[in-house]
Amino acid sequence: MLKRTLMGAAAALALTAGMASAENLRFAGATPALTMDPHATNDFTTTAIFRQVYDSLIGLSLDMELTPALATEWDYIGDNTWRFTIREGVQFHDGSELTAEDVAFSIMRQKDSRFYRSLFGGIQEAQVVDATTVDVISAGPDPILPRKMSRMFILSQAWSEANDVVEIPDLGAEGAEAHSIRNAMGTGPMRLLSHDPSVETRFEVFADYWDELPGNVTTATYLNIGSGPTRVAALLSGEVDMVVDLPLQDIGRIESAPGYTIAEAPQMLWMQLELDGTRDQALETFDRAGNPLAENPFRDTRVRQAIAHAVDADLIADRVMRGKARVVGISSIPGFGGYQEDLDQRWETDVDRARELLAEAGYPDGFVTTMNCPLERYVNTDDICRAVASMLARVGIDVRVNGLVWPEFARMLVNGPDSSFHLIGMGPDSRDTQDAFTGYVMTRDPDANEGFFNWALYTNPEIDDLTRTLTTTFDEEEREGLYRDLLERARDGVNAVYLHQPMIVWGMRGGVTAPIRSDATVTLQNVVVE
Amino acid sequence: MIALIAQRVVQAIIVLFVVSVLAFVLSTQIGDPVASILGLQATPADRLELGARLGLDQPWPARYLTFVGNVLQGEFGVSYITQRPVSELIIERLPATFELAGVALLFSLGVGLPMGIYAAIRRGHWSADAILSLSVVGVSVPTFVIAILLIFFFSVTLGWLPSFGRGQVVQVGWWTTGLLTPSGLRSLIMPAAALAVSQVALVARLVRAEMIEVLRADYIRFARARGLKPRVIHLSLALRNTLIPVITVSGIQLGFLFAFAVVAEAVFQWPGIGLLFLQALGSTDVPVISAILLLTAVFFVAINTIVDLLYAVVDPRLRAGGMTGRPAGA
Amino acid sequence: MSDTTEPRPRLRDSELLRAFLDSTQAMVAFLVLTLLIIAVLLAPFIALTNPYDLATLDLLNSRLPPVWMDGGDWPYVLGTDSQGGDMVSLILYGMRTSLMVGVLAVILSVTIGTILGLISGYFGGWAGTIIMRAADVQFTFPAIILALLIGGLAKGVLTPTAQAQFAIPMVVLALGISHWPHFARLVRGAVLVERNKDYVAAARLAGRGPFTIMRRHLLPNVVNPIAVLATLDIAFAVMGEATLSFLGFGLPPTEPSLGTLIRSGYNYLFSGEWWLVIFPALALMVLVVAVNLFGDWLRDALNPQLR
Repeated sequence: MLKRTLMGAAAALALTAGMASAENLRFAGATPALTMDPHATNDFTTTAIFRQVYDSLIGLSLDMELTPALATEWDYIGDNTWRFTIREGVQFHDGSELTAEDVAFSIMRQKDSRFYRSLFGGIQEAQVVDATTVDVISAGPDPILPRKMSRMFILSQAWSEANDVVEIPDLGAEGAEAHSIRNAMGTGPMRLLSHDPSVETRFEVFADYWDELPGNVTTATYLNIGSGPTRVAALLSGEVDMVVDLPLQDIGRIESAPGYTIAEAPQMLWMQLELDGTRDQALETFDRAGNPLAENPFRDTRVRQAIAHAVDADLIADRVMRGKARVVGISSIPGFGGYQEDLDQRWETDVDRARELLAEAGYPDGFVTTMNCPLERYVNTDDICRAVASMLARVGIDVRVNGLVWPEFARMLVNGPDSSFHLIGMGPDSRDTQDAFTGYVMTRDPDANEGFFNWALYTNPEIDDLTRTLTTTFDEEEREGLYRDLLERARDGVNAVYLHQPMIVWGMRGGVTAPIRSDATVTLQNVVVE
Repeated sequence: MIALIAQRVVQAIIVLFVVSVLAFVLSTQIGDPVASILGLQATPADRLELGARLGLDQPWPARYLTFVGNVLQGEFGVSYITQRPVSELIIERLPATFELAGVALLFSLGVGLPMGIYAAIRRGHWSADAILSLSVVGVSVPTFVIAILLIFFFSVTLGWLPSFGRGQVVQVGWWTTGLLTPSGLRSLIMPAAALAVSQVALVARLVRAEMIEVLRADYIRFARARGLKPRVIHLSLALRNTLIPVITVSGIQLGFLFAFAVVAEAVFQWPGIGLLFLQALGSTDVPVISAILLLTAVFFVAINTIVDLLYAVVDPRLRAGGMTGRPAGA
Repeated sequence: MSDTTEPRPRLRDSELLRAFLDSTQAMVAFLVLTLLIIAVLLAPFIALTNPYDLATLDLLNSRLPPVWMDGGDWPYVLGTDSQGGDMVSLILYGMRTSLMVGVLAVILSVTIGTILGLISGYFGGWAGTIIMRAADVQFTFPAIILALLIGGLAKGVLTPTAQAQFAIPMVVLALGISHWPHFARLVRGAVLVERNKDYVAAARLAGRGPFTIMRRHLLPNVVNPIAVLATLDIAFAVMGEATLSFLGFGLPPTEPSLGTLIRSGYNYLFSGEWWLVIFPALALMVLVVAVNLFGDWLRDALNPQLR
């Protein structure tokens, strides 16, 4: 995969020799770019779009490694403080110079955003030390802050003040539309020409960009085409040059169409089944006669292991995901800080062992339960849920699949969480295993910012303690040991039944070369159009 | 006549009241705006704060009054999702839907009328029967199936027509039109055709039925007895009397085309009101949903009131009873 | 339809049977309908896989093409879906759901419409006015918008789990409520004509109560037009369910109906797995065309002047 990515990049670089004149790229995706205010949402698609216009403090290479961007250097200087050196000679799209004040202003603005609480909630202060130095002081030691800073977007302070958007525009405030929703002032490789959420967003290359512009795209348009088949039809009929979320079932068709190519990269999240680890009685769970079960079966590690043995993640990756997925065995994925390749072995599929474990746990006849399934947002969830249900039916667990559209699914979790068994994707924004544990595995305690996304209420005090140690440890060797310990404990206790990491797949017409990146961002400055 | 107008106006007000209550109930009950806005990172404190800001902590009669008060001032609030004023969103999308429905109406009359006339004149002939059977198939194929097939053949297989969107549009004042550019016109063909198919069939059946009725009338018999040529009888006498109900019905048809545009807009990703409505329903964007419901109600009440009054003017006998010409079940 | 004074043939009349035997259209439509209904009723016995019993599905059999194509495999004549479900079985179960929703929705509209129409026509007065005004009001709203609205409201009021359990009743309610005014108007019109006739007056003098009179004397006069309208309405209700489900506001994907099958199959239209959408769409068309042709013939047969 990585090789493919690099080859794409190399091809892009090779082609820059003859940088052509005006080249336009039309690319389409399933979901709308909601707002151009980079601090007003953490939505996946929207971020990929406003990244064209706004640079992050620390950049990402095409293989998702941290690279110097608006900050050229960063060091931990003790006292919970990271020091960032700001690049000189960077211009905003209106020609004004980027200053340390702009950086400090943006950090303070974004840290207050409710969408970035898990990433930046710990930041207390951004101090301008001198014209090119900014100190960021956190409430506690934060060894992975630089990783997080690849999601810190810098905008112009003067522009924000002039347009009355110093505060992040919030909803229901008043009737007027905040300026930053359809306008932008960043330092990115592309300038925003116009933005109509849910229809199209248009860009123009920013000639005074501080970095190289290896590609030849001079103007670009992102179109929101919600319906998958319509998107594919648009690509095949030449109305768009590129589709950034190609439906899995259409990959074959695009690959076999003369001239068309696809690019793929693993997405920075994985799917897992989450099982209620706290309630005394599981919700919507019954015995064969229809009486609610007295005990919560999911609290029994043997039942969790049985489910892990019964669900054939390989078959799901192969059939439902058409091979465009990587089976996941631990609570981390390649590219994440703290990923351990040798530990990444998934539970073996073993239906007999699953039945034995269920019998040992006191459920020789199995039981009946309900699985909540988000119908959108992740790839092919409907089919994944039904495949899981049919696999569990073979070991005696009858699962009713309860499909929910995303807003309802989110409502169920946020207002409860009211689910004892569900499918969900997880991918901590910092791309570090540490945050997989602080956000998803630690015992849920939103006030302490622990286990905020632990919707299944899994709980393990030892994991909680080890995770707390990890978050304050800077020593790399020590961290490595903690990562391994945590990942093994989580896997053996089946904090969740891991399934797979889906691929992002792009389809392109002939003559378009776009290097793919795992955060699904089309780096327009690298795209070559013939 | 004045009494009738007064009655219709009172009725229209009642309709709007009922719909406004419905729209309001919907806006309070559907989904949970707070959860859908804040996403998974919301804390209980966030929820209380946003709830208060949206006025969700007020008792519901107070909220209804606020809602109606705002609506009367043309203030529909701000979309939760796009964070833009709802009135702006709707005004931007309105031209797309009107052009789509308008062109579909032209299609359905342009094809349906001649088919219906022919089927009436040649009643009993195999070709007329064929038209009738074809029209049954026409009303039996749902709009979305036709749309899917059109895309499959004309966009993907043949590559003749664009499969989505409005193409290039031109700004005329606040109205955006796709009727003035080649790409805009090409984009319009398939959505309008998909939308028109079932209406073509309905128009054809209606025209045939009305025409047969007219042809049986005494004055036609007299005309025949006087030896007038069939062509003259059919095209000048009969057709004229057939057209009156057809014209009034096409008013209602415009309304139904407007409603069924939802389906065509969904398949062709046509950026009109219908697509906006579906997107809003899908993301629980309550201000947008209630605004569209209210506007739809106003639109339909207006169309119906006008059509009813037209009917009364044209045919005094119909003042008391219902309308015979409405497409059954549409 | 407004002409209620002429005597009409009853459904049982032998004349009707003869008309039926004379019409190829009616016979073909009826035959197709009968076959479909028998197949649908036998679905649990003849289906290879049962979409409600997930243990019968095997992912290893997923996405097989129809048997006449390369890679097709007996006994999956029309291929399989992404879960390994047999298309023929899915269509049978889907059609069962669609027909059930359609018939129940029409029963609901007929019941509401007839009762309200009878009351409005027989008693008149303010109750009658309110009923007919309500019908007028509802006529101003296209059924599809109304059904979307009812579906949306239900989604808001019910908890997610209840929604899944009540998905079918909700769609039935949405479609049923959106069509009752057709029947109310029809019944009221007929009752207004019959109400003042001598035999009704005689019955009244004989001391029969209003409900007996409605049931014994008024209702039989409207059975024919109701039957025609109800037949045609089933076609509309089946299409309504399909449209709602296609837009994502009808039945959930876990509940196979023709609409949900087309919705999920539509995603595969360009991927070469065309059988996932084409066969359910064809099944829907055949079903609706058959119902419509039969209803059409019934209307003409019962309304001879139009023939």
